Amino acid sequence: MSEFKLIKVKEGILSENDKKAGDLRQKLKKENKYLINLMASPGAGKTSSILKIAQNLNKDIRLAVIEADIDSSVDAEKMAENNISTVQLSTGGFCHLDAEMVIQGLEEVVKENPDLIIIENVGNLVCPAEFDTGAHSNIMILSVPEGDDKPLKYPLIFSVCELLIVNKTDMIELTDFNLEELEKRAKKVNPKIEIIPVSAKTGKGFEKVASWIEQKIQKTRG
Amino acid sequence: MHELPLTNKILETAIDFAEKNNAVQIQEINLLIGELSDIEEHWLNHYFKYISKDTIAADANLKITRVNIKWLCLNCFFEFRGDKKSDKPPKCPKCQETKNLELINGREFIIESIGII
Repeated sequence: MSEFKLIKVKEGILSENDKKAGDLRQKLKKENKYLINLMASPGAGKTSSILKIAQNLNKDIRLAVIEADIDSSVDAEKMAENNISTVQLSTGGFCHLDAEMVIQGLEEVVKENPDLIIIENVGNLVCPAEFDTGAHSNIMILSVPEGDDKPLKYPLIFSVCELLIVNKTDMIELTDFNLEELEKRAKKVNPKIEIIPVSAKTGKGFEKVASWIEQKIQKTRG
Repeated sequence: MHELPLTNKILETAIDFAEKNNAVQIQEINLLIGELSDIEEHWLNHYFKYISKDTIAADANLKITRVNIKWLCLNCFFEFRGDKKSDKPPKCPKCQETKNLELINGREFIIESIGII
């Protein structure tokens, strides 16, 4: 009878994905392509925010979008109507994107030689936060009707994002959403997080989001 | 929701290490999971039971240790524990820094060790 032995493994369960994501980040940097991973709940306004960002971005920046949807192409169609080059990734029931799926999506969009690629991740505040997509920046959108308590309930996603866009602020008067309280709670899990309130309906605030992105692109180009 | 692909990865890695060590059976898998992770242990166990059937890891015990949130103050390099339930932002107890802090523990997802025979 063999004896019981404890073997050290010390291996990250996501280490394979983390490595792929790290390599992708490096590769894109060399090619002067900036990759943003945009995450939010369903209905927070990811698609309409991307359209507003596109309108506010410096016209020299060529934008492409990777749309992740469990099983539809509604968002990709909206992008195409607005002349934004888009690839649709059907995650086939998967709740998130990983680096490998992003690499596949990029194969299509790089043909247009974009400077900026935005991934519209699957609408979900839990799963996408666990998987590094290879993006240079993670951005999340929280919309006013979702409530200012979300950083307490989903701390991980707030901890991995550099920028928090607060959408639907045009209806803030109708709710008890407290922007200061949100900021305090978000900074609890991520003291460096930056917050920009916007309204995708009126367009307010998107010039700030666009210039935040432009500065990031410039910084990586040195 | 993403417990299934993660469970697959756990099983794959455990079997890989077990085979390298000529194991006939995996009895336990020790996991370190950060406090910030929303992994549901119930589903992890449920899926594991299902996918490990007919492997050397069938009936292995998944032992999960949660790792507390820990911050590193980049101002004075003091390390301190965070409180997930507290409503207050983190603050270095030594130099009172509130911005220049880095999360060093709390996001782990590691197979620490496996128990084999």
